[in-house]
Amino acid sequence: MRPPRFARWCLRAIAPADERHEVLADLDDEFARRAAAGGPAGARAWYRRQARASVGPFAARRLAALSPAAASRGLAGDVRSALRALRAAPRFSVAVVAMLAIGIGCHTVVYAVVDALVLRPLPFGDRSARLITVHGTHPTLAQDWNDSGISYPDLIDLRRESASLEGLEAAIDRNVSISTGRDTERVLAASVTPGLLPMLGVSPAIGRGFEAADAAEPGFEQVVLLGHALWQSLLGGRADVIGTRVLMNGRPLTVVGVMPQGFNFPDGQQLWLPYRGSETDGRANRGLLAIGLLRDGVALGPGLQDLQAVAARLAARHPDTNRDWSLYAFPIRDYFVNGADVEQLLAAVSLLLLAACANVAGLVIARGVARHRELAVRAALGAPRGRLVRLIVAESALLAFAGGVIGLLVAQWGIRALVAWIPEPPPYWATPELDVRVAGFALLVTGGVALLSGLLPALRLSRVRGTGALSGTRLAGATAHRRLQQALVVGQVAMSLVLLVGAVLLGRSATQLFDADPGFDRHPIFSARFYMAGDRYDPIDARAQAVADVVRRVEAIPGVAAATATGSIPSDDGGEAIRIVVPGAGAGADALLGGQAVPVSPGFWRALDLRLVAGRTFTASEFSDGNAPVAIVNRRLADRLWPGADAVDREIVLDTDAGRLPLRIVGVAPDLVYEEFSEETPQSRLNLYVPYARAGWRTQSLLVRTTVSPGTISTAVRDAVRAVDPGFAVYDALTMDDRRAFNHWGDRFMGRTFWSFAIAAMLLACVGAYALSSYAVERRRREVGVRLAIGATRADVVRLFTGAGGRLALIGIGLGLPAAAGVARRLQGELFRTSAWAPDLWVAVPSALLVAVIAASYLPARRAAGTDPAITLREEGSGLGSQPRVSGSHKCVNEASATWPHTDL
Amino acid sequence: MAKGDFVGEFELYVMLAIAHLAGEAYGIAIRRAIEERTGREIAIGAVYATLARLEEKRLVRFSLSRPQPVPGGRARKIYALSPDGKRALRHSTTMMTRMMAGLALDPARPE
Repeated sequence: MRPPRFARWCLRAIAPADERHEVLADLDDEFARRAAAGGPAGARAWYRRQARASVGPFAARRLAALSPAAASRGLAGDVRSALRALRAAPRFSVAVVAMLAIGIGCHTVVYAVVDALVLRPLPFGDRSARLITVHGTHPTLAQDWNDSGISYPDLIDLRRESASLEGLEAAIDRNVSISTGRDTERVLAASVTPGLLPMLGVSPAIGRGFEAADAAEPGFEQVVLLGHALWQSLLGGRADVIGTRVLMNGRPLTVVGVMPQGFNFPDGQQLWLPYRGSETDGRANRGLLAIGLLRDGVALGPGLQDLQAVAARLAARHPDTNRDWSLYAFPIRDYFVNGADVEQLLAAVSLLLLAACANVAGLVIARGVARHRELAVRAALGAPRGRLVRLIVAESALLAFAGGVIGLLVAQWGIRALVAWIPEPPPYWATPELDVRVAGFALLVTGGVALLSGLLPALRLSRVRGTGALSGTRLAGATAHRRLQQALVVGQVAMSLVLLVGAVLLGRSATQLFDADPGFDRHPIFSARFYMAGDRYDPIDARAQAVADVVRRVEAIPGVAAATATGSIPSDDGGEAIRIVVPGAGAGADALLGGQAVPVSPGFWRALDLRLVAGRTFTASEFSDGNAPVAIVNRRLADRLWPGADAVDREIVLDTDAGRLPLRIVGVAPDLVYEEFSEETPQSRLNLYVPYARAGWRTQSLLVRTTVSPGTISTAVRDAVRAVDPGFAVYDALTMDDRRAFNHWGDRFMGRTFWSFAIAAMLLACVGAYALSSYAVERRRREVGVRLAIGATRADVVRLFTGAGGRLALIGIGLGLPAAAGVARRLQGELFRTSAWAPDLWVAVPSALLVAVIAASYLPARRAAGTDPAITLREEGSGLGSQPRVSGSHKCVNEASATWPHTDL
Repeated sequence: MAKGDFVGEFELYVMLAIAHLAGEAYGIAIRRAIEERTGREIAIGAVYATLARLEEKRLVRFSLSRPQPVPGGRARKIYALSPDGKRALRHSTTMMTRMMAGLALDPARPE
């Protein structure tokens, strides 16, 4: 005779878990009694009535338990008991909180950087996503977008003919010298088309922006917009600044406005002048950085196609200047930021955080194993599994929360330290800071950490139901716990391997970048740039004379062996892009070869302590003659054009915007590196040196070879330049060593950061292996005692545990290798003179990891081997007071061990 | 109902049944005791719901019985009145008797 099935099913479904069993059993009892007394029909009817009447109250209670108030009551209880439990285990708590704080802190710092550079919208409102930069491309040009601009007539035509652009404006860098009392300061400025600021949606904080008239008037600029910082430093932040005249490049300009604080568009500029373009400007003069605004709804792809179609029409219309020229465009953010670096950092720091979570999860399990009695008692008292899970997760959540709060403090400090340390200011709109967004994300991460480090162990540990948990010494499900712990260690080893491989690769690459040879001994060289402002220097002769004077005065400084002026500093700048005609290559038509021209003074090679390979350097008269038809090629270019033959006295022909330009080779120079290391292009390797006057740049770079420490002559060099003209501004003064460090700080930073993450992850893996080994040693004490008692050596015991650690490490390495190989493949492209597949790396890193993990498992193993089997076995025999466990054989071992000579073990 | 010192009618029944059953007060026994004395059929769900509510108010508490001496016998929750529960019960019944004093009713006095 059974109760009605459906009614019983309903009750089972609706009764709260902790009463379900009791309710059903009680009703079954009563049902049986009634069935026996009054027959099955009445009993069934009674059972159904009971079920019907009980569903309501049960359902009401379950619903009430779901209400937020009840949940928070339960939560408060959970948190209270979690707090109690954690206070009782301070060492565990501190260790976990510290680990999580460092993990979350590092993660937050990196995320703040990623957020600032990549995720946060640009400061151009809803236009941010539609702004693009537009660049000219030519088959002979390297794809270095920062250097490839477009010409003003092309800009006007594009504006007119492109259907996809709402606006197209332009900016071009300018050097401006401002006299501040005794000093002349060089300020980075930009000439901008009047429509640029309105297109960006930015207006001045004071005064007005540029009007079409500002750009249309003939002659020099009359008006200027000041940056906030310059307004403060130059004019003391005066409110009545509009209409003030300031002397710039020796000419008075009228201030028409002050830009809002923080505005430095495009890249660190402090003042802006109106760009005075004319449609009659040279179409081949491609110096403008073009900034476009895509029409609403036009994607980049179709927009680019449209621009390229216009470019093709322009090439057909103006073949002499535009043949083979096309356009390329990309989002403006990509112009400023290399997102790949920060994404790698984020990936690395996420791995580290994950490793920390795995470690904490391992600790939580280990602790749970130690607490299994408590959990078993709770389970036996009727705590449902969900309740145990909640309890353990509450502990992890508390730990994660504490870790998160301290992590935020770590992050705040870390971000500040990072921003202070970065030698190169980030784009003006991208200062990493701990704002609500970043803190919110850190909170989210903390929640994830709590779940990761708590839920998995909680699900595992909460399976304590069953009588074994309370009665036995062995924890029910101990094998499964161990498996999970082992899996966690394996995972940590795998993550460490990935980070270590990345760290070694990036570290090696950074070292290579720092040590790479630019083609001359850079250590004794001091470098600086100066800018020759003023109408006085309009004639090329005046500029050439000034450059020669500066070099002469610098060479007179005590401690200076030789000095020179050049247009481009090797291993930092590139030269000016040129097209070299390669005669007769192919069917009739001459081929063009891309190269870079570098204007130099005659003493260039002497200053670098180099000798020409062949021929001579320029003469003093060639140096100051803008039309001297002479050039010097570097060895690579000579080999390219006249392989195996003497290049001196041959003719090289350039394809310039003004037509063909033949030059006579007077010398062959040794190869130097132009552009920064790792940014070299095929074009930057083919160098043509021309006399200063051929280019006549107003900006010159000084290279000064010293016999004293190069950093000590900085002031003397400034004074020497000023002695020629107090209006010359000296800037970017650095020893070549410092210049290298500055250029590659990012690489070194990446290398070092990866290293610290990798070392931290490896330490975590070792801590995990150590904990697991300790736990295994603890669990197998009796076994070890027996083994030692029956003749195993200590080495055997040590091998037993280190072998287990080694096996886990090998599995982790096996799993990590494919991931590490994937990372290596991704990194390969950006490594400098470093092979991602160097055999030593792939042997050394896994070996080191294996040794580290084995060493970590060795420490507890040695302790186990050192234990006295007699003591261990006796403890085991009597130490478990609650359960009488001394079986016959057990007693036998006990007695045997009692007579064992302790001292011999 | 169920505010302050006052307890609801059914809560009072349950507490009184616990008092009667002294040491044997588990779910179905409480239900049976109330049924026998009131003559009403009581739903087991209502009893448990009330027990949970009383426990929340800290008027009753439970201990686990030893497993019943049958194969597969389970531990039962045995309910008892907490000191608060005893006080509340005394309070409620006293108030009720005082309120009824002088009326032509003959309430059966509890205990």
